Amino acid sequence: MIGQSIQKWDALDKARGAFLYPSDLHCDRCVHLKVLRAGRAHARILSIDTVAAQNAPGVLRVLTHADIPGLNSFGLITADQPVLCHDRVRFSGDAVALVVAESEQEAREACRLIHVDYEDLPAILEAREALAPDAPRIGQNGNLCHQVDLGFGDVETALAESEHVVRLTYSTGRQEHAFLEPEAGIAYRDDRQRIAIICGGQNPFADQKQIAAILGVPVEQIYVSHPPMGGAFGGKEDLNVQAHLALAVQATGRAARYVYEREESIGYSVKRHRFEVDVEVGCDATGKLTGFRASLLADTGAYMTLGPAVLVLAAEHASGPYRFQASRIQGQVVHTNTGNASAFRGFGNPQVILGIEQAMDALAAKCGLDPVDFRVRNLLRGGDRAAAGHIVRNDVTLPRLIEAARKGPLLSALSEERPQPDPDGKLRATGFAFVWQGFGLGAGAEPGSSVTLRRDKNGHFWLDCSSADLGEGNLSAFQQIAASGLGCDPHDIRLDIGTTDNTNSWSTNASRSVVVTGNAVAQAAKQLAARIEAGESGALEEKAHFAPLFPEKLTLGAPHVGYSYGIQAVRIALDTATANVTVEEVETWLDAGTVINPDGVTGQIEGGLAQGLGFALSEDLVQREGRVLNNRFSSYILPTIRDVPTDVRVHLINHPDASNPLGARGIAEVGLTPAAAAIANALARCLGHRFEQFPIKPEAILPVMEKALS
Amino acid sequence: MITFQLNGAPVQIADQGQTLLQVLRDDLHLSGAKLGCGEGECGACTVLVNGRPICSCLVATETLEGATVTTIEALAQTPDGTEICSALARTGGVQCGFCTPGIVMAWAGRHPDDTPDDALEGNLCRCTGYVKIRSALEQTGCLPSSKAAISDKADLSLKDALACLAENPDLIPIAGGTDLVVRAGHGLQSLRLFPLARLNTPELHQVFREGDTLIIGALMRWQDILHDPIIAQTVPIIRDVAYGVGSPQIRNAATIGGNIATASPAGDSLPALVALQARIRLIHRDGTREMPVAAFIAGPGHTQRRSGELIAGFVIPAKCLGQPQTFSKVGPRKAQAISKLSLATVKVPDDPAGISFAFGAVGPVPMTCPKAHHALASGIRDKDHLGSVAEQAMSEITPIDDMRSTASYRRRVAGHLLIRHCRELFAHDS
Repeated sequence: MIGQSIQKWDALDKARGAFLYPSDLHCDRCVHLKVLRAGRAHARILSIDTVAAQNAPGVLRVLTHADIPGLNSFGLITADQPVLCHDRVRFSGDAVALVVAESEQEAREACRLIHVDYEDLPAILEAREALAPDAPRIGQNGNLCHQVDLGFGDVETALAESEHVVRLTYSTGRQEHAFLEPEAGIAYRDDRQRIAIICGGQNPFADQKQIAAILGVPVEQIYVSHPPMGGAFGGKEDLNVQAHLALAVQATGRAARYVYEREESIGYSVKRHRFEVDVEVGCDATGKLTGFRASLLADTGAYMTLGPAVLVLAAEHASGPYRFQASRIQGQVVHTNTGNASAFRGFGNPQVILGIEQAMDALAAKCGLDPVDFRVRNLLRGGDRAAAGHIVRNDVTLPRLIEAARKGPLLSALSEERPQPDPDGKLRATGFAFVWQGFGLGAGAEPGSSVTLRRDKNGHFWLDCSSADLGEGNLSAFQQIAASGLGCDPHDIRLDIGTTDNTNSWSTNASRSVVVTGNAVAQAAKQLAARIEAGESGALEEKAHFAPLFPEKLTLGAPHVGYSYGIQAVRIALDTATANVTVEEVETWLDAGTVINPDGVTGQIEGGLAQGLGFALSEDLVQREGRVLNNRFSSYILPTIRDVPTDVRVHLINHPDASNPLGARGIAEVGLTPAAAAIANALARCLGHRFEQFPIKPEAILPVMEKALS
Repeated sequence: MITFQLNGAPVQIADQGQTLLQVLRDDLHLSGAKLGCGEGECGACTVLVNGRPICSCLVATETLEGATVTTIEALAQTPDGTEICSALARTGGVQCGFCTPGIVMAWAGRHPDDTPDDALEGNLCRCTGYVKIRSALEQTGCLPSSKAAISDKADLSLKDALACLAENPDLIPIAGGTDLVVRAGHGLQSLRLFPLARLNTPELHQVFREGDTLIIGALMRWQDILHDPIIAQTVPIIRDVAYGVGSPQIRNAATIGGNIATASPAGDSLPALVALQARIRLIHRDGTREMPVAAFIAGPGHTQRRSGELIAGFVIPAKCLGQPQTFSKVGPRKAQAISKLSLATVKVPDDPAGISFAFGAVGPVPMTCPKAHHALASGIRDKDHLGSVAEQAMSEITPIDDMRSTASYRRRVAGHLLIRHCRELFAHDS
């Protein structure tokens, strides 16, 4: 039960090919969709001529902005993204028209017959150009989407009086989620005459609200279901196929199916925010940290999406789990024409950790201190003020991890390294990073989760909640938690999940499932067990709600109620002919709090690590004038099995978190976040150089390496 | 109509330019094979064709006549399938699970020597980081059976095939189709394909000695080349090329002849065959001709192949057989990589420079850098001279900037690799 690596309820069916994913769903006589995308960064729409497409074989309807019955916009924070553009397109993926046809082929061919007259407008392709006085206006309210200014004390004086100051400037890549199952779903009128949308997504209730507004109908007339899907990683929080499917059903009365092609998915879906970061970190002669200053510029693309929330989380985490005397963290997230960015595992933290964790290594070297010791002496303790300005309520549990990590083969040999090429022509070095990652939605943004546990008249237990399972196994964890409370086998907890007809457990994101929804499940199980204990017979039902208590709020979304902590160390080999980096070994120490399913936890760390390797070394969009060139898996470079080392070890050293009764910590993101920082620190040990662009590609390493070796 | 065996029963499908994956998912409602990319990169659509893992998204149905196809739905019912599925499910190897059926198929049809890393090069997983998949598969005891390389349904004589091709100039010969199907995209139905799998011509599928030369049949699949002992012994760089071609799923379909016919500047067999001073043998109804591979490749996507001609094979001269030789591929990742550049170098006793070399992906055709080659003939082999030879080669190649890399990177690394290869091969002299 709790603490056991049980087999997930759906794993065997998935392996056997028997499980139906959103892209496997069909309806009788369903229509197929194709969306005409702008294909240009920024333009005025002069006219849209759909006559030829409308008359093409198999075409039922060609919809444009004029056919949207309700609100022609959507968005999780602000509804600013058009469902079908009216007078302007703001990124190459903007939807302009929707073809509904009898077959995919006919929809695709008709799409080519739509003629749109554009007047191209000057485009913003660099975030730093967005706030120039003469910049074209992209956002609804100008190009500044959101800004933060956090910190305390006089940082300028603190840095000026510091013995050592390290300043780093760098930018990060637009990472694609690359879930193996692209955006997909079906829609139809259900037997209650509602429009039902069955698709990959991360929060059925958030979808329902947006779709109802677009169709101009009450929310009760929309039903959304998210069955387990082929991955999401934050990339299915924003609407993708949903609104277009719903419009097609409303317009034709027929069931509809829409599956993105991979080029559509990579080319037009949301990405990890590209950040430009400038940090200064100081310490005194004894190695005590003084001031922290950070300036963050994030590119959220044409529409707001979750840009403000990503920026806020980045600002909260930018200084790492370290104690400073003064700090200032300023951030801006701006609109450009480069394509939308939104949630992606790590949510801003992978971008900012590169600053603090590289600076910690560099400062330690300046002080002549071991980089682990240097970090240890500056760790936050419970009651300390973090650099963003909030009080960290509970002890940072890293010291327990450090003790174990120091005994590991990677960190114990750290001081002995002398990077000279080995006989195979490779330079080898170790690098590491400490990480903290807040879990749950932050202060003011976390509504909590409700769940219902039932015992039906046959004595079967049912868990009823709206949570979607993206593949991480949150539902299995809920089964384990419920079973622990009820004293039954986890597989005896039947699942009634993932839809707007279920009890609202809100979103599957932000490493919140086990911490927030899990505690609601535990509470419901406790209530139900008490009634069973009291001898109540027949059908029983208990509902519970859990919402973490936030003692303070810095700004909307910060701080988080608690953090998971980790240390990740990597061993890299740098080929001195090709500048290719091979990660040969990775060791991670993690405080996951109370662990529900150990394999589930280590699986999250390992999977996050692989995505972190991609973020560090290979994954980025290649764009030309706002269009994505590498929109396929042959050109967008994901790590294969050969790119992830065979030697990956994860050590769980757990300490229950005080923020919730279960003592759980959310850990779905913390494995990804430190990887790039650890690799950057290893490369610095090889080459004595800090790179200014992530991913760090061989093309950037080569000239630095040639100089270092000459 | 096309007739093949599917999961133990014969099926007939119309010949209408579909891929096997489209037939499975859309027509037969077998949804265990998933559509993840449509270009053979993710492996989620893997099925067994004649016992071997293949990406069904790259199989033009025209090539399936007489084939035996097994999908996850049937494999999962077998003892081996049950064991693999259970191991993955039990040990946390399944997260979202979208890639899992393809992984089960790839492992079930693996080469007997394969480790999980060998067998799963062609299966992208975005959730697990592969760690638990590796450990699950290592726990499975089932051993793959050996598979025939050639369909036993081959019924077409070479003579008839050549006559047909000569009379129908619009026919496109297709072997593995791994490149052709991707390039055709949604327009596959507009192509008239001529499946070479129907040829009952063993010599096109084999490697064999002819006099003192070695012949590599054009229809040899890369997976067979990878494991062929004669190749390993006589032209090991061809095995090294095979190692870097796509993934098992691609190598089980794609042929060496197809790699040359496609004439992509990034095709790895091009520089290797050029460095081996190989000749290409072309057959036509009206006769056979040979020419150096270097002369056959005319430019990106262009060759000297004439209408109605088939590539029969490659003739490797005796002087290059069993010689020390090296191949380096520089790609963006360790498997399934399209080369940023490559270099093949072969020690050739009667060559004035002592070696023959060719770069791939740094020019429209394999680049042999005659001036650098000539400079090597001086016999001076110290560090400075090798450095100047490398500089010379760097000035002769014509790499470009593209989304995969930069001209500057390609040029610099070409120089480094040439020095590395020369040192390695010249070390055999001392």
